[in-house]
Amino acid sequence: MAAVCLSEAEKLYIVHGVQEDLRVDGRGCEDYRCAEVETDVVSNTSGSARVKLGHTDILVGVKAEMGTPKLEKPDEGYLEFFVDCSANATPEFEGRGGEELGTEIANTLYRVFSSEGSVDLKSLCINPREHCWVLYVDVLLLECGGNLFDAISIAVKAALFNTRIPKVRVLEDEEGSKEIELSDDPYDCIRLNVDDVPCIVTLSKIGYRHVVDATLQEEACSLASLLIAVTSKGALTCMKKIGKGSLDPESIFEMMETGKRVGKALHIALQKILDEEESLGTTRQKVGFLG
Amino acid sequence: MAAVAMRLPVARKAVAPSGSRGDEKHLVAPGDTITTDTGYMRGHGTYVDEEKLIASVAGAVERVNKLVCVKALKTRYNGEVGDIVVGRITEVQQKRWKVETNSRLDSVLLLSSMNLPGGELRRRSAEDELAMRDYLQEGDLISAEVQSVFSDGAVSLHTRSLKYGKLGQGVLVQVSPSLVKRQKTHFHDLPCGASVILGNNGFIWIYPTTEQKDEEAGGFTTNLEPVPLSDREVISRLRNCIVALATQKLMLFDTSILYCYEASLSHQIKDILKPEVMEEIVLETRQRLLDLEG
Amino acid sequence: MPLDHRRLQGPDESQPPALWAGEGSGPRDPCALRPLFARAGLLSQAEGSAYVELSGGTKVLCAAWGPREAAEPGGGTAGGGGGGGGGRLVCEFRRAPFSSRGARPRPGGAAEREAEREAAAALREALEPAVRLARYPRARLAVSALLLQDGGSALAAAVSAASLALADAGVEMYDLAVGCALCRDPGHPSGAWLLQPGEAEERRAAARLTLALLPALNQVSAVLGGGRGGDPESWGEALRLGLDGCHRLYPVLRQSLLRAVKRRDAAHTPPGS
Repeated sequence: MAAVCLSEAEKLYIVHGVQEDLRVDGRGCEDYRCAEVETDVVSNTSGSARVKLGHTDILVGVKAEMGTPKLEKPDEGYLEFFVDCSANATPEFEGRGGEELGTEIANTLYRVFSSEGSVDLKSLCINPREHCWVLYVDVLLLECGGNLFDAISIAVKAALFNTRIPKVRVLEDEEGSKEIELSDDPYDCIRLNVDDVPCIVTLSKIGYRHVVDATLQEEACSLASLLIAVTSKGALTCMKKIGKGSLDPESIFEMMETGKRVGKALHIALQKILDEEESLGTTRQKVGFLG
Repeated sequence: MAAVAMRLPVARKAVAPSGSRGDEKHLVAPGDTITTDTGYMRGHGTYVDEEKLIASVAGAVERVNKLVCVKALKTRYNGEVGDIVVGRITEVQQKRWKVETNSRLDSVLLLSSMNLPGGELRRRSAEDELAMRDYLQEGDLISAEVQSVFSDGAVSLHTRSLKYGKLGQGVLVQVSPSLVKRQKTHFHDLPCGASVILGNNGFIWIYPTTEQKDEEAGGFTTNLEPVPLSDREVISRLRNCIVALATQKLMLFDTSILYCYEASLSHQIKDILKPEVMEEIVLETRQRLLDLEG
Repeated sequence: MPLDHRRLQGPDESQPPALWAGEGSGPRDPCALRPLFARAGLLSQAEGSAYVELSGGTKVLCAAWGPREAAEPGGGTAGGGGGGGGGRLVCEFRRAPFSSRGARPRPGGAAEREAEREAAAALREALEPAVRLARYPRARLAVSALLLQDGGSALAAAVSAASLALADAGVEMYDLAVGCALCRDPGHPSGAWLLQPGEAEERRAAARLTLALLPALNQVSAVLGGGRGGDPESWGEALRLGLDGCHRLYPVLRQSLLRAVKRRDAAHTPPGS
């Protein structure tokens, strides 16, 4: 990841600040940076979203394609994640440099979405054992400014909210051969229910306290973070320690509580903005990349 | 407790340029002809083709007598002798440190061009060479002055004054070098209760004002005592103000920072970075600066 | 040897019928640990090695190599560890092609490799806090874990085995890392966590969690889990149960390490003295 190098005194300043609940940019320990969310930014996708969280900039595109259901789950569709660390974000990602980080994030997303019920996969099934929708979720890192995981999960949720999958019908003739018919009306779509899609809250341990939405500088001061996926109802669906340090059991309990609280607030804010955008409909002025 | 602010992006116009005072700059893009007059001399950022003087960078044309230069507005730092810079040590080498100063090549700080602890100017012994990492190690920040610029553009620094040296606790903000206004002094103890070093290279260091300048330390001992909360608030506010000014492309110098700080006082520190608040306080700052100029 | 993929006539994914035959495991004590067998120092060429077996079929063999001079000093970010002047810990996790009950996965298949890589990263993060990497500047430590048979709780067993192997190699460590796995049985009312689940329990589980603990320091070095959502309290309970399990496993690992040390000691002291 784009690493920043800090002097010992700078780190100390950050650590003391976190202790006093006043971070370098004036935030408290549980405050997020100001986030901008926009959906439907790339027209060749079934759904897309762009999220800017401080200097972190994420673009997610969802493409729905037809595929065959997995053997273990014949009546469900599935999601595929791919994370591309573009060299736009940092020159270190050039060539294969970003691959490791990309796989790590993709694996984490699989884990977060592994919980049944996060997305209604049954609704993606067209024809049991034969056809289903596969949602390819492609995440692009445009800029890294700390707290990638949270920003990516917000963008994924927004993109899934924005996803529209064409309605299809299965016609069966007398001989039993099946035919798939696509609806003529391009606006005749199904939408996904994203109420239970979790968001990731990363809590970075700095000194004796933990902060949410760490900047790159703060990440450099943190030895270990706990990544928690929280649904809008406050249920935890995934937990993962990242970083090379270790955590006290007590602080893990505290972090889970904080994660639940912050996660709920995050979902409320996100849902509000998605609904607001939706209610504006076509009257909303699209900003895209010219903002 | 937890504050999560989300919004839809809004296309924002940059705060309207101050303009109107006749100091409109002559802006050019690479390939633009600046002049066909052969009487001019070719400076940085230009080239001559078929007796025409053509710009090679995007930026503002500057003329000094017969010399025509184009100064890129967003670029890495081009060192000039006498500039005050803030830099970060990236490597400890034999008798010198490599310093990252946002310049196109790493800058160097020679062991011989710094005051050793104690402030005295003595001969550098072999022990000093071995103990270089004790003075400055990778990641440390220093303030220094540009001593000379090599032909390849690399910068050589010196810290041979008590005001330069290693930096302790504080916050670094990086802005474009062209936003830092050249002034007599780049060290300011602001009346709001904190100090800033405005490096010509766009590195800005904000730190708590110390009461007594410890002379004999020579700037190599760092105070590791926690900074009191009141100082932190001032520093955080200043940091956000500088970020706001830089985002809205206002020149940075002591007065603009101070005005911006005062304009921001009605807002919470963390709210300063919200786009609309940023716009509001920067506009107010600009108005006051214009009033000042009359 | 070239593999003739064209000869494979069956579907890409298939499972033997045995997989679907439920094994009649009745209800069990959720706090019961499966008997663990550990032996350190059994490979002759690696600097350190360990074998851990959980009764019920999980078998992990671990080897630790190094410390050696790192090929690329400074490490860079590619390898993950390093930075800060310390050494680098490189971990590998491999599943033997015949390790799982299902069909033999094609070795080197994309999905297989992804899963192994994730496990390797988890292994590294679990071990890094335990190893005094700062004592090995510019050096590289390699740990490879080979899962011979997956009978559930494989990653947890690999963590224990890998920390034993490192200790056996004489690497300076703050503490041993003890791994422990849990899963939540969907049959039980929510909140019933089982310690050290077997493979069948793991497959059925609604949620899974793997922990690693540094028992002497009482620090958690790995948390990796996911599944159907639960309250923080429920996960907290799992954490407590799992940490308790780690504490209970610790003496076994410690004993086996001391036994290995004693064996070496005996080899060093001349007989009769």
